[in-house]
Amino acid sequence: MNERRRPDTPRTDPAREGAGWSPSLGLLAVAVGIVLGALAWWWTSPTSAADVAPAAAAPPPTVPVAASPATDAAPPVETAANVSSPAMRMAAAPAPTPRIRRTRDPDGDQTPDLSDYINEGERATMNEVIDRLHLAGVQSGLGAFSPPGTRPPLVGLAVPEDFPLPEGYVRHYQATDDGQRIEPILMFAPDRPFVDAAGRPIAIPKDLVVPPELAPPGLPVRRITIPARADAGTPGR
Amino acid sequence: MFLAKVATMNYWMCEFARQKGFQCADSFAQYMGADYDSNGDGQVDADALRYVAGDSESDYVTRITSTLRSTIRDANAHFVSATSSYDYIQSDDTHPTYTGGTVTSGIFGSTTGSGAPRYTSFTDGKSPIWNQYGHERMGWALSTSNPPPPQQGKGGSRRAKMSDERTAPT
Repeated sequence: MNERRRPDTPRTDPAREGAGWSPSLGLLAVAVGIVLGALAWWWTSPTSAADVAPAAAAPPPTVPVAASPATDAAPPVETAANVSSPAMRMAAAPAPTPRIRRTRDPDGDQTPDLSDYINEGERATMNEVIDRLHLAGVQSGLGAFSPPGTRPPLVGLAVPEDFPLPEGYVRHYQATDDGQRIEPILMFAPDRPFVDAAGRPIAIPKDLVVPPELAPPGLPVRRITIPARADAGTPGR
Repeated sequence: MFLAKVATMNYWMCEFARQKGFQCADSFAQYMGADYDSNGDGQVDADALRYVAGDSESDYVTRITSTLRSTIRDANAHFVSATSSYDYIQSDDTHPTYTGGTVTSGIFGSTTGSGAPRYTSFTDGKSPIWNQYGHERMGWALSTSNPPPPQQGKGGSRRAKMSDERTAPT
């Protein structure tokens, strides 16, 4: 048990000498995995890609500003953590134009701000911005607002300006989020009962929008359409 | 309960503004009150709902939550007459509506746009669309009180205007 090994004692088991060197398949698989992981990290790293490929030769990357070399500043830790998840999802999206370059003074305030959630050159919609803020756990600032479309414009019967409104009806005007007037619709006046010709109460829709079957006589029945966005492609408000 | 809290908040917004030498453009009244006399009390609803300098908190809150409660209506159906209403609120159910061009601030990386005036005549100080959009309504309310000219040797006027918008600035 306490026998010391003699200097001439072979270090290997004689029984294994004859078999020669034989690698472990498990260890080999781990090694290959590490190499592939390192290659994948290097390939997807924005900094590495920018270092290797000239900007003019590469397609415009959609990368988070916080990790962009254009800032020449170390991004705040919280910002990088918050941005990485939503921004990485944008990696496969086509790069919008025009390209907007943002810079941050490396000696200035590094407090995370809204631009940390917008890829460089991207014109994100307000819905996208709010969604990314929420995914990052930000519920304050813009993250406190409901996204556009929470209460979409009402669609109802068009009521021409020269149509004389009978008692109990209202001409209701709306606007799109980009400032376009929507054709007025016909609605019931609020807080009042409605009866039919026999004096029986009529159930009216909760949103007070007049359905075609309750349109007043003489009104051409036509539903309005909401105008398409006039500023498609520009950031939401 | 909620209305009482809103009324209290609105009162102190305007009251603190008064104490500091500001004038208050009461957007709560401008947005939530109709532009006609809907309850027959002899006053246009939006005027009757306004904060009045000298109001006590209890008087103001009682006026809003009880006396004139029936004249308060959500701003997504602002009545300019008994037969015409305008939605003052955008689809996010928060920001006021507007019309015309916009100026985009730099939060998305650039500042673009222009805001040239659209009207040259203002009957009684009002543009033709003063009560048809939320932003235009707020703009008119702010225009009704002018700050006095700066005074020599006193570092300029400390009087200004303050809006107690019920919505956040865009």
